[in-house]
Amino acid sequence: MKIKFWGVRGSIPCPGPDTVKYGGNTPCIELRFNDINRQIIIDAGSGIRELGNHMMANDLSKGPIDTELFLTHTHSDHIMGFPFFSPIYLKDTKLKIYGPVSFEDDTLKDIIGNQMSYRYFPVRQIELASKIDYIELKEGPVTTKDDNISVTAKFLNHPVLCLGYRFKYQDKVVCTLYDSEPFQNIFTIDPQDPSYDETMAHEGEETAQMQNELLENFLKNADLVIRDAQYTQEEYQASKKGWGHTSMEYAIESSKKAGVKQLALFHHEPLYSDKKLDELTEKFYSHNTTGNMEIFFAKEGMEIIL
Amino acid sequence: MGNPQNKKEKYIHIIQEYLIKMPSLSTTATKVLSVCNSPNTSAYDLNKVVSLDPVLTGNVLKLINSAYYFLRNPVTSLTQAIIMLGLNTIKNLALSSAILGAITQKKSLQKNTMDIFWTHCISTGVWAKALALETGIIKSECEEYFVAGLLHDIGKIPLIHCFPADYMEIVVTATEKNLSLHTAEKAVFGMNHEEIGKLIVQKWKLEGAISQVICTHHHLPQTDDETHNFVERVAVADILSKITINGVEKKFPEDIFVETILQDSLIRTFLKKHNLAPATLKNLQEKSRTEIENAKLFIQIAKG
Repeated sequence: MKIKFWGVRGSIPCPGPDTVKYGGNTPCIELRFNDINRQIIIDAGSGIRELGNHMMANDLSKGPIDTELFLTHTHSDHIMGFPFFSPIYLKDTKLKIYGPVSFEDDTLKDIIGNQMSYRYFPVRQIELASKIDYIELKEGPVTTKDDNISVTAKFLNHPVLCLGYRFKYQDKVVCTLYDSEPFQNIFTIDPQDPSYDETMAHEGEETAQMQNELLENFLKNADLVIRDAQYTQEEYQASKKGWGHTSMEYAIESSKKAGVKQLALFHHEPLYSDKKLDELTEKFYSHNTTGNMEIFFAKEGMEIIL
Repeated sequence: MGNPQNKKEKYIHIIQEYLIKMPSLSTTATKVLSVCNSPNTSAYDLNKVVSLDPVLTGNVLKLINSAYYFLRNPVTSLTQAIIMLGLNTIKNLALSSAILGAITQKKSLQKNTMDIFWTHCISTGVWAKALALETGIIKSECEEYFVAGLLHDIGKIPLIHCFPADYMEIVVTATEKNLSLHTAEKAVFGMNHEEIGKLIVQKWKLEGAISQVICTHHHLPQTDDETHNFVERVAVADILSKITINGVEKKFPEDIFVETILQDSLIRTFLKKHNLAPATLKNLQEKSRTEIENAKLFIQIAKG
C-alpha cells in the first residue's frame, strides 16, 4: 500500500514562500493498492486538485477512472477542492463518495453538491458527466467495493459530525484521526463553581475517559496513523479548547499508548511557517518523547510505502 | 357522524405529519433560544435547559441512540450524550426544535395547556427520581428516572398541539365526569396518549425502560422484573404529581396528604412493597416542591 499526502494544511489553503516545504493545500490523502488496482482518496481539500491532474495525466491512459472518496467531515477545508477534481467532468468516471450523515435534513449529496451551484461556481452538480454515488456512513464497519480492504469508521469529537477511518489491507493498518479533539469533561469539577453539579461532574469525567479509551483502541497497533495535531499544548490550553483539534503533545502520547508504529502529525495550523514546523520537529523528535514510535510532520508530496 | 375507524386514521395521519418535525415546548422555547444563542453557554446550562424539555431530551436521546452510533448499551443520560455529541451539535438540535416551539407561543389556549403539561412532566420527573433514590436505586442511575418521568406523557404533545380545542374539552369532560384522561382521549380520538407515545417511541427508535414507561405507565407490564419496577416507580410518581397538583400549589397538611395518597391502590402496593411509611412521601413532597420551583424560575414561567 502506498500513501501519498496531497494536502496537509488545516483550515484554509496558505500558499506562499513560507509554506513551500510542508505545503499549503488543505487535506487530501491518497491510498494506492496497485496489486488489486484500487485507489482510496481521503478528503477533498484543495490538495485534491493536484491529485486529479495527476490522475488525468497518468491513470486515464490505462482506462476510465473508477475510484472512492472518503470524506471525514464536511467543513469547507475538507471539501473545497471537489469542484476542481478534474475526473468528475469525464463521462466514464465512476466515483463513490462516502461520508458522515448530517443531523440536519440535508443529504451528503446536497452538502457536497451545493458547492456546485451558480452562486458559488459556474458548473452545477447536475451538469457533471461522471457517475457519482453518495454513501452516507454510520459508525462501524463500512461496506466498500470489495472485501480486499476492510474499513471501519469511528465518530470523533469535532463541532460537526466527523469520522475517523481505519483501513486494513492484508496485515497493514492505516488510520486517519482528523479533525478531532480529545473528549473532555465539559462540566465543571470545581465544587466552588456556581454551576457545579456532582453527578454531572462525575459522569462527565467517566464519559470523556471512556470515549478517549475507545479512540485509542481504534488506533491500536496501527502501522500508520495520520492525526490532527494543529496546536501545541500551550496554544490549546490558552485559547483553542472546544475548537475540535488535538495538541501535538496529546496526539503523540495517546498514539504511543495505542502502540502505533508511525505517526504523521497533520492538519497544520495555517499560521505555521516551514521554519516553525522545523522547530517543532526538532522539539518533538527525541526518543524520550516518542519511544519506539516514529513521528513526523506530514509534508505535501510525501509518500510512504507500507 | 363519520366512521370511527376513518376518524382515527385521520387523526393518526395528522399526528404522523406532526411527528416528522416535532417542535420543543412553547413553555421552554424562549429559554432554549437564549441559552443556545449565547456563545458562552456552559455545558451545565445546556444540560439543564435540555433536561427541562421532554421533546428536546427525546431528540437528544434519539440522536445518540440512532443507528449512526455503535453503542454497546443505550445512552439514557444527557450528560453522557452532551460529551459524546458536543455542545455545537446539541445547540443546533435544540435551536431548530425551539424555533418551531417559539412559533406556537402565539396561540394562548395551546400555551396555557402546554404550561400545565410541562409542569406535570417536570414534577413527575422530580418525583420519579426522588422515589428511585428512596427505594435503593444508586444515585448515578436516578437521572434515568428523571428522564423517564419527563418523557412519560410525551404522547400528549401531538394531541395538545394538533387539536388544542378538542384536548381542552377532554380535560374538562374528564374532570367533570371523573374519568381518567386516557379513557377520555380514547373516546374522542380513538387512541390514548400511551398509544401515541408508542408511535413516537417507534419513530425515535427509543428502547429500554424509558420506552416502556411511555407506552405502559397506565397499564403496568404484568411481569416481576426490573422493567416492571422501573415503570412502577414512574407510574407512582405520575399519580403523586397529579395528587399534589404538580407538587407546587397545594400545600397539604400531613394528615390530609396521607389520607389522599392512601386512596390510590398503586401507591398502597408500592409503599408496602418497599416498606415505606406514607410520611416519607410527605417529606419527599417538600423536597420536590423546591426542585420544581427552581425549574420554573430557571425557565422563568410566571407563577400563577
